[in-house]
Amino acid sequence: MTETVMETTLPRSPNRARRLERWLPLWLTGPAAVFFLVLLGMPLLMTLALSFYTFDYTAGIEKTLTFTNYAEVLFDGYFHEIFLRTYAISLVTTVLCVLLGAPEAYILYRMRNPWRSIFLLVTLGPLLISVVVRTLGWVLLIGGNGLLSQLLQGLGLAGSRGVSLMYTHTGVVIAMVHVLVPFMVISVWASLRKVDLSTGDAALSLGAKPFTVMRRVIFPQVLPGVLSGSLIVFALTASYFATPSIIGGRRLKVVATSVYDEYLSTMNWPLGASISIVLLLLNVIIVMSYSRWVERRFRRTLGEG
Amino acid sequence: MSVDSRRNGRLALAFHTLFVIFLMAPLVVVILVAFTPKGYLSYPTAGFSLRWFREILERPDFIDAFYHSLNLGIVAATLATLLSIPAALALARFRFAGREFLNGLFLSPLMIPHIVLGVAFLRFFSEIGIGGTFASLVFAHVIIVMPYTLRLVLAAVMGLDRETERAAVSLGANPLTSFRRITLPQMLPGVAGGWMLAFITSFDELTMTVFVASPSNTTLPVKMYNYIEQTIDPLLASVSTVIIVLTVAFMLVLDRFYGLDRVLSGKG
Amino acid sequence: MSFLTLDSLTKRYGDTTAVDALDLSIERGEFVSLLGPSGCGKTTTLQMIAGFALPSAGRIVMDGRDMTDLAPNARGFGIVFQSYALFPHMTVTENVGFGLEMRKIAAPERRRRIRQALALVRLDHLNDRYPRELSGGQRQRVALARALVIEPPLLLLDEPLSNLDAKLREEMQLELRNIQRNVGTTTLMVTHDQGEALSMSDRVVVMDQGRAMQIAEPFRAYEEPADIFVSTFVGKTNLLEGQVAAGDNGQPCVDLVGQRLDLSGAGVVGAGPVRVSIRPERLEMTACRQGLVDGKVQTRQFVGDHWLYQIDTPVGLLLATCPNCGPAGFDVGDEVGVRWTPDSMRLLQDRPRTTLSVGGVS
Ligand SMILES: Nc1ncnc2c1ncn2[C@@H]1O[C@H](COP(=O)(O)OP(=O)(O)OP(=O)(O)O)[C@@H](O)[C@H]1O
Ligand SMILES: [Mg+2]
Repeated sequence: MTETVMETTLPRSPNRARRLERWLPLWLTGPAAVFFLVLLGMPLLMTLALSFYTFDYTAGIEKTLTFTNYAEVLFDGYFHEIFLRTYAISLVTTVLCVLLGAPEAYILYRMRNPWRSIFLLVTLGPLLISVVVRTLGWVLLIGGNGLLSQLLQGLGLAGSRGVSLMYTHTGVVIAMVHVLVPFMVISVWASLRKVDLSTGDAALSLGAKPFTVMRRVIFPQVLPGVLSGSLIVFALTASYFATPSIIGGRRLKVVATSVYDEYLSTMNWPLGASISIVLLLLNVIIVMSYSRWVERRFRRTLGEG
Repeated sequence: MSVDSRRNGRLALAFHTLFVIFLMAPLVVVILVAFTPKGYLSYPTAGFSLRWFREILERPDFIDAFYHSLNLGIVAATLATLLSIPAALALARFRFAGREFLNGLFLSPLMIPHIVLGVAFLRFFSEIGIGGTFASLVFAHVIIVMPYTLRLVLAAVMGLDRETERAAVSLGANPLTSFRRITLPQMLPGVAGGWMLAFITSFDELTMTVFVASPSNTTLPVKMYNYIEQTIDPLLASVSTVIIVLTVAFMLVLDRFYGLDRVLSGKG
Repeated sequence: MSFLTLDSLTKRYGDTTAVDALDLSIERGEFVSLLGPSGCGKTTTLQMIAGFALPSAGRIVMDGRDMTDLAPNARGFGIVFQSYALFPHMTVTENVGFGLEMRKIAAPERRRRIRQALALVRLDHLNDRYPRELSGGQRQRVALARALVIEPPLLLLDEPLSNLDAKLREEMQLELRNIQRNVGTTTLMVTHDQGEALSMSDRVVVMDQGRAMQIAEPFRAYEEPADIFVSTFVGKTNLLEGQVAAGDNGQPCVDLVGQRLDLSGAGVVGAGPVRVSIRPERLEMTACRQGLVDGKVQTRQFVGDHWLYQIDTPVGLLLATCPNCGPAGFDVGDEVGVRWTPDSMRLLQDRPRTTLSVGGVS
C-alpha cells in the first residue's frame, strides 16, 4: 500500500521516493505527536509525581517521596465509601440506561420518516446541550419546591414541606441517566443500522411471535451496541463531575467531586493527585478488561468479519 | 407483512412518549422558569416576562464568559482540525513504525476522565507559568477535542477513492494541485463535521475547564457552575434558555450538514 | 519505428514478478488490448505506462522519447479508470474541463472543447449534473470524455466496461470503438473478457503470469493460437492428444483417429505424443459410424444462436456446436458420429509453465 502512495504522488527517483516514504508520515504526524507528548504526557507524569509528594497544612507541598497518599486512598474507610458509592451509582445508571436506551433505539429504528429523523434529533440533541443546563433543569424539577414536589403535593402524596430529591442517590441517578442515556441510544442505533431487518421477517415467517423476534433475533444482533454503550455510560458516570456535584453536593461525595475538593478547598494536591491516579487506573483497567472480555465472548458470532 | 411487522405497537409508542417527556422535561422547565416575572424561582403562572433576559444584558461577567467560550471553541476546534488533517492522512495511508502508538495517543483523551485531565493541567500550567491564560485553555481544549476531529477526518480519508487522485495526476495536476483540488474538497464534509463536534464539545466542557480557567479567563459553563454553587435564581434559567436556543440552531445546521447520528457515533 | 514501444518491461513486487520482460510495439492509431486472467499483470503494465508504478527494469519509449522515469502528470496520456474515478465534487463540465484547466487553456477555448468532447460521447445535455446523478453508462462516457478532451497521444483504458451490465456493455463496446476510430487516438485497453478483446481490437496481447504469450490480430489469435494457454483462454477448444508419425510421402504428420495433419512446415522433430486443438464449431456431428469417431451425447445446452453438445468419445470428451436452425438435431443419450477436416486441426506446443489436461475444455 505504501508503495502505491509514493508512486502516485511523489517524485520519480526511487531513492528520493524511498526517503520521502520514510519521513513523510513522521512530518505529517509530527506536530500532533509533539503537541500530545508535551501537553498530555507531561501533565500526566507531573500528576503522577505529585501523588507521591507529601503535604502539610502549614508547609504546603514537599517533594519528598511517600506512599501515604495512596495508603490513605486505598485503606481509609472514608475513601472506600466514596469509591463504592461512585461505582454503585455507575452500575445502577448503566442498567437504567440499557433498560431505557436500548428499547428506545429499537422503537426509533422502526419509525418511518419524518418521525424517525425528528425523534432521533430529539433523543440525541441533548448530548450537545451543556451539562450544566441539563442538570439545572433537574434541580428545578426535583428540588424542594420543584415541579415533582408540587405534583406529589397536589396528589396528596407529600406533606406541606414537599419532597426534595436533592442530595439523594435517587436524584443523582435520575439526572445521570438523563445526561448519559443518549450515548446508549446512539450506540444501539449504530449497531441496529447494520442489522438486516428481514431476519426479523424470516423469524416471523417461521412462526415466532413479535416479542420472541425481538428477544431471540434482533436483540442478539444489537448486543454489541448495548455492550459498548454500557461501557461508555459506566466509564463516564464513574468519573462524572458536574451532575453529582450539583445534585449530590458535599453530602453525597463521589470520586470526581472529592478530587475537586482536595484540589480547590482543602488544597491537598498530592492527595487529590493520588485519588486521580487511582481513578484513572481503575478506568483504564475496567475499559481494557471489559473490551477484552467482550471481544473474546463475541468474536465468533458477531465479529467484524 | 414486512410493513406491518415493522410498525411500533401501542405499548412501544407509550414507552416512547414517556421517554421523550423524560428527556425534554428538564429543558422545558428551564425555559419556563426563565420567563417568570417574579424575583425568585417560580413558574410563570401569572404571565410571561422578559425581565430575566434583560437581566443578562446587565451582567457583563456572563457576556464575557460567553465570548470566551465562543473564542475558545473556535480556536481549539480549528487548531485540532489543523493537526488532525495531516495526522489522519498519515495514519490512513502509510504503514510506519509507531503508527499504532500514535493512533492510541491521539485517541487516549477519550479514556482519561476529564477530572484527571483537569488536575493534571492545573499543575502543569502553573508550573510552567501560563496558568489561567487563554493559551492554556486552548491547549487543554485541543487535547480533549482532537479525538473527535481525528476520528471524523480519518473516516473521510478512508472513504475517499484514491483513483480520483490518480486521475487528476494523469490529467496533468501536480501532487499539490491534486491534493488541493481533489483530495481536500472530498474530505471537507468530514473535516467540517469534526470541527463542529469539536467546537460544541469545547463550548460545553466544564469538568476539566473548572481547574484551568481563571477569574479573568472563565468560560460560560464554569461561570454558571460557580454561580450555581452560590445561589440558584431565574438568571441561570434565562442564560440556559439562550444556550439551548443557540445549541438547537447549531444542531440543526450540523444535522443538515453531516447527519447528527453520524457525528455523534464518533462521540462515544 | 513504432509509436509506443515497451522494451522488456518488468515489475517485481518482492518475490512475485507481476510483469515479466514484456515487449510490445504499438503503431500510431492502433487499438490494442491486453487480455489475460486475473492477476496476470495487465493493470500493472498499464500503471507502468501511465507512470503510477515504477518499472523494476525495462524501458517505455514513445515517439522516440524515453518515458520510463517521467512523472505521471507530465506524460499527458488519457486514462479511463476501472472505477471511472470521476471527481464526485465536480459537475460533468468541471470534470471534463479539469485537464484543460491544468493545461492553462483559456476559458472560451476550454468551453468549446468541453462541448465538443461531451457531444462526442453524446452527453451534451447533462453538463451540470454531479457524478452521483448519472447512470453507470453515463459515468463511463464522462470518464471517456475527460480523457479524450486533452487530446492525448495515447489512451489507456483499464477494464472500462467491466462495471456495466451485458447489454449496455455491448453498446458501449461499439460506441467506444467508433469514437476511437473517429478520433484516431492510439489506444491500449485492459480486459479479461475475451469477447470484448476480440471484437474491439486491432491486435490483442494475450498475457499469462506476467508474460505476453501471443501478440496477434484477433482472428489469428483465435485461429492460430500460439500455445495451449492461448487456445484455451481465447475461445473454447478441444485439446486432443495425437501421435507424430511418418506420413505417406515420408513427411512427419499427426494422426488423430485417421485424420492426418501435415507437419512438413512446422519443424517438428522426432516422434511422440503432441497436442492438437480443434474449435467446437469445426466439429460436425453426423449419424453413428458416419464420422471419424463415434460417441454418445452427454449434455446439450441451448445458447440462443447455437446448440452446445458434450460428446463422450474414445478420444475424450468433445465439445461441439451446431448453429440453431430449427429444433435440436440430437438428444442426450444419442449415439452420434463426429468428423472434422484436416485444416481445422492446430498443432500446439505445451509450454512448461502451463498445466492443462488433455481434452480439457476451457
Ligand atoms: N502493490 C502491489 N504489491 C504487491 N503485489 C502486487 C501489487 N500490485 C499487484 N501485485 C501483484 O501483481 C500481480 C499482477 O497484478 P495486476 O493487478 O497487474 O493483475 P491484473 O492482470 O490487472 O488482474 P485483474 O484482472 O484481477 O485486475 C498480482 O499477482 C498481484 O497480486
Ligand atoms: Mg486489473
